[in-house]
Amino acid sequence: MRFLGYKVFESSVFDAMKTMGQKSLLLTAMLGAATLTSCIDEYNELPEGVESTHILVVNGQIEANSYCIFTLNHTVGFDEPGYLTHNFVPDARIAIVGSNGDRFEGIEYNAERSQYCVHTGNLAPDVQYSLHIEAPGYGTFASTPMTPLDAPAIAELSYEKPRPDDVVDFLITTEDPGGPTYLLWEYYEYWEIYTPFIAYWEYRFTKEPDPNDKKNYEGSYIPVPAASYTNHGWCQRLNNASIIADNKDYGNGAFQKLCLYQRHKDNVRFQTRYYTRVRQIAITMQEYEYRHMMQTQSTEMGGLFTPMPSELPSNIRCLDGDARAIGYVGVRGQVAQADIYVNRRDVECTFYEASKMLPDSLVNNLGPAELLARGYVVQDFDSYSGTAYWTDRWGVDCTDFHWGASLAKPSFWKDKDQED
Amino acid sequence: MVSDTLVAVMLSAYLSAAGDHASLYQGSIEPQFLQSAWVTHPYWSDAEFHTGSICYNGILYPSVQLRYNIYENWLAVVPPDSRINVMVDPDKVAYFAINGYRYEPMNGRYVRIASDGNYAQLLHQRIKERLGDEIIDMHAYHSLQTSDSYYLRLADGSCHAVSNLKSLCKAIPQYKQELQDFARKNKLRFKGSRREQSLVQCARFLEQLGMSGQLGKKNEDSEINNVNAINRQPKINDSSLSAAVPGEVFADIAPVDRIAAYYVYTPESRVELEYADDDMAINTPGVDELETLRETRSLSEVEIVGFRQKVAQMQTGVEAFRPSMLRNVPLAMGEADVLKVAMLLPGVSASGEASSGLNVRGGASDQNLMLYNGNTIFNPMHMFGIFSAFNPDMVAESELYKGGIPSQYGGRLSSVMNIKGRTADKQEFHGSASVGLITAKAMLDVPLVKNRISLLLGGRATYSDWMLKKLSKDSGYRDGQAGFWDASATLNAMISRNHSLNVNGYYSQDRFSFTQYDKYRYANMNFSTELRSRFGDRLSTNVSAGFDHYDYANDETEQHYSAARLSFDLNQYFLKAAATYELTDAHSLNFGLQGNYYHIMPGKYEPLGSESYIVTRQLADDNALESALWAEDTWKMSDRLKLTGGVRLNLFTSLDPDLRLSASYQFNDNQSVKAGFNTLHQYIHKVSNTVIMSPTDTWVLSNDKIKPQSGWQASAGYYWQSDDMTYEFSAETYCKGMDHYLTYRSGAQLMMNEQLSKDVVGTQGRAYGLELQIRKLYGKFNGWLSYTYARTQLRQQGNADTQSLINRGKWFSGDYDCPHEVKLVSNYKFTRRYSTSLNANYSSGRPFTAPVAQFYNEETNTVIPVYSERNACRMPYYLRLDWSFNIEPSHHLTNLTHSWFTIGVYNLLGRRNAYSIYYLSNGSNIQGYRLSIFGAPIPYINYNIKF
Repeated sequence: MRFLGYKVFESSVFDAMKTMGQKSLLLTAMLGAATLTSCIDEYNELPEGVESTHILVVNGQIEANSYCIFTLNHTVGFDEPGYLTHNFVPDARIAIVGSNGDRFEGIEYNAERSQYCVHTGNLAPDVQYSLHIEAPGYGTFASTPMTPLDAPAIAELSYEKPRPDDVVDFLITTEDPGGPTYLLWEYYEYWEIYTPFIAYWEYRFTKEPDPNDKKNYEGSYIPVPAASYTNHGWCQRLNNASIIADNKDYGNGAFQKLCLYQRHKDNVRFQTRYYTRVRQIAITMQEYEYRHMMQTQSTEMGGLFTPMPSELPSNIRCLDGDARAIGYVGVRGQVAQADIYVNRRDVECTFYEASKMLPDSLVNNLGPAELLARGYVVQDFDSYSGTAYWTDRWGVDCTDFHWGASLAKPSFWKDKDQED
Repeated sequence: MVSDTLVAVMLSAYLSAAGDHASLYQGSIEPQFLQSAWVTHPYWSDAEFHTGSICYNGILYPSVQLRYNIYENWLAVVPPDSRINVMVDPDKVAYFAINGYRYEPMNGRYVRIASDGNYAQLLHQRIKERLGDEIIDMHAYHSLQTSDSYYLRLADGSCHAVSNLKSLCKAIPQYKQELQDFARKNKLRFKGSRREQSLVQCARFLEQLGMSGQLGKKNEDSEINNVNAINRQPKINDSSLSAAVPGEVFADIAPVDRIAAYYVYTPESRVELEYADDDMAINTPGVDELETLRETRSLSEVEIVGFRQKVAQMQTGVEAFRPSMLRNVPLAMGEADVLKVAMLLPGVSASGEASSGLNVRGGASDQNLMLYNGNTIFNPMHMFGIFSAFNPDMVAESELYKGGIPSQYGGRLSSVMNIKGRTADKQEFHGSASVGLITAKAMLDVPLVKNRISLLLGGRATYSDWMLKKLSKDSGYRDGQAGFWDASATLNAMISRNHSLNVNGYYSQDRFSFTQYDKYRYANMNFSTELRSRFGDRLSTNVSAGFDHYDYANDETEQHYSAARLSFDLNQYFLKAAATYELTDAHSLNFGLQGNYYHIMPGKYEPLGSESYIVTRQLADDNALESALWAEDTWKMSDRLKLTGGVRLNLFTSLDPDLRLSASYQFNDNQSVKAGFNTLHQYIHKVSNTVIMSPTDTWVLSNDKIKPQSGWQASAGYYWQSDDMTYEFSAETYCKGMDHYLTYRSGAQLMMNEQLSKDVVGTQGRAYGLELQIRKLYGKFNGWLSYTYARTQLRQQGNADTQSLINRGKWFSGDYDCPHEVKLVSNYKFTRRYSTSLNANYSSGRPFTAPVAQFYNEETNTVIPVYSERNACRMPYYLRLDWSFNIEPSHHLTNLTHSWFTIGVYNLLGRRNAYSIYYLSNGSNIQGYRLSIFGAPIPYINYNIKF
């Protein structure tokens, strides 16, 4: 459900929040249209009279039969030096403790990032589990014990391009959960990439350029073996913990064609073939609120009708004092999963990114060593005329940062002709 | 007390009904005064028209534009509607008053009563004579010579020219010694500019002697021995007052509380007076002469010599203002606005420019009862709060009770804003129209049955969509729309001399959308009928019944599988019967009953379109009856001391009595002190965790889990007004407490929440403050300057462990806590046609919750802010300067229409006052932003036309 364009209970709440932020801007723009002025400016003065302390921040979830990764960070004040991503809490001890006495000890498996790993086994459905943390300098903490929550199965994962604005909706339909349910979705995206060209040749030095005399080198154009072509690869992205919703709008029954996320039909993802795998996780109402607020307060403040910010709720309590900790550690039970492929023509994708050949004059002036130094690559070579065709690296290499692809085909990947 | 009201009601009724057709305005047109041909002007003090009153042919006309041409010896007035200068018949003028001074005819001219009294009056006569022409730059200019003379008129009617102490002693030789002692003691000088002041002091001294009886005792042989007071003969025909009233006298509600001092003459004439208004209990401190009218209801002349609004009012914390104040006050987009003007008063603030939700003395916006013609307006804002829902052309007057709330009002914790609409002219068809930057409005006065039934129609609409079209295509909002319209109608019928009926209707609708996939709409609808009656001399009643409605519907169609509409509606049916009964001369009883039946549909979520899978969900309807009985007695213990005590019994889920106590002591005509104590209950609450009113706010009724809000307020004040009533000063202080003030827990879900009570947090509130205001009421330069010190703090109630309470259970600043506020409203009239206004508004920054730390969230790969305790920080101070220039209509008689302009600049300084400060994560960092609603000077122009 939405109001003011702001999805309250639906999955795309985060996207909607961004939209809401834009709508605040819109109002400003509306008024600004009359005044020819912008009314939002940066504000860099730090609030006075409030001292910040280092508060423990816990990230991670308890999940059955998996290696649960927990990261311990601490908050920092705005005026504190250092990198935000390096506020680690090392040397902590963590464990997952069940109300039946089960205890899964954790290890600090990545000290540089203060990541701790707990390998869990089966989690009994009627046993409450909680995370225990002993963090030196912070205190001893425990998350609220709770039983594992099972997610309903996914009945259908589909996509549609119903609207004239060429947006592809990815829709999910679940089995009936049999009552009020809060769900969290994660999705993994994979897509197949082809560069505009295939590099059939490469320039190989027989004498490396002299650093003092860059024109003093020797080399030649040689053909590239077919197995070394880099024009074809696969990209992937994990969209983690970003979509939450409850089923009130569906009468506490199954979610019906709920739009999880959207992609434009001309997105690079649909260049060839796209795959998405959705994980569906049941969460508690408290976790729903925690995630909702965390997203709201980091992306969507400032609107005229935006609720005032407030302290993040947390289910982690200090056992030996009144220290505060931020985080919500849930206990996952059964996680549902579904996937789907989308072909280019299915969504009428017209994505095409052309790379240009470098002009001959430039190629001749710079020479192969300088061209290579500047990141260009040989695409083709006419051995009769001796003409070499140079282009950008991303024009022939999908592992270039431009694409960010891997040449390794995912193990589960099915080509079009392998589909049922 | 009833007599006070009767007088005022009668006057107002007559003037409302008569309009330009009153005999006062039937004279010939005043010849045009060519300023360019004169070196000096021929008028008393300046060439401007001044608002004053005139007793003409037995009728007293208050609020008349007057100008006395001394050279030509004619008095000109401006009819209120046509605005054409007309000369009055001097034979019918009993007197007129300007700027607190009365002018009476004497020897074919008018003299000013510089000092009034029953035993000694000082008269001031000014004469201007042609001195000749001056040649300046080859042009001849007429020149006038001014001469001033003073006369002492004694109780025997004798008049003596006086200019200094010697002539005074000569006029009353038997008091020579006393006068000389008095002059010496007070260091009086009778030359130059101090002459009049010294003569006035002497005249008052003589008046005091007369009042104390010494004058008569010492002067047993004198000619004034047998005269108790100056013989004020009735100056009008006995029957003229009632006969002159065209139709009934029931036309309108008199601004009784404005009329503070009367001089009433009581000859034999007998006039039938009508009244019908429950407001008549409002105290009006009159002079002794008024008492004699209480039973006889006989009068031939009433003179309003000035307004002692705050000094004379019974309650503390009452503000009243008229539409005339609205027109010249520069406001955003040039739109006159009742609520925006209210925000310029001390103790009244708003969360920001785009906010019509008032915060009165630290209260929340839902703690104000907004009444329009007796109807409750639940969402009084248009277009995100830029405009209020009230068409200023339809408003007759507004009252804001922020302290001493009369017993007849209840159901809200902070204030009552009572906006009374106009009634139409019963004589002639009139109309007006106005075009502004983004709105246009029109109004029609339609007399259906002459002198008996009239209909007032008004409407307003916006054409603001053009602003969205100005946005770039890339913005994605060019398909957006925003607009509103409202319409209101008032049918006024004089059923008989004792009964009048008003039927009011109001409808407003707002709509806006940001894209083609979302639509937002909300509407107010109100209907009421009101019967005012009078039974005998002592009892008057006012019975009203009506229906108030508010609803909204928000459509979201971006995803056709989940396209849905969220809607809410609130209906309130009310019946109110109020009566005022004058028990004795000293006691006036106001009593009545009220019932509000609420029917609230708290929320409905339903599919839109056949493809939507959304399941219709509707929260259970909320119905309740809120009823109240009240009785309030106003006891005039003496001329100086007045007490009011009232009880209001509220019945909702339980019986909750409210107390209303107030006392006022008037030291003299110029000074008074007041104190009051109120307790209040509120049973309907706005559910919102935004600072301002939002189109998705819902209302919820108290139940066993959401307890009624309750509060008390104690206030006291000192009030002073200068002798000439030009200046007014007030100092008020208050202290209030609130219980079960609604706040919400972190992460609360307010929409479509079946268990809302679990998300509501009851808080305790306290507020205190001091409000100082100095006001210049009359003159070329007028306006006010106010300073307010106010604090509002909240604390979460509950037995839970302190860790889970907001700010660990400590007191924290409320959202509206702005300790210091300074407001300046100033108007200056260059000429009658040209005037300018300048407003200034300063306040401390509002509290807000700011991030004090941050952390990196690996899950979402974003930086998350960690917020401070609630409202622990403050925004920068707020400062705004507004300016406007007003060009009033011309005076050409032959014109069918009259038009006027207003141009101005809102936020002249262009200061970017922070509406909010917020922090967003840009992935690797937290960046603060300041949102200013009006971040630059906003010029505007308004064109108005009247026919």
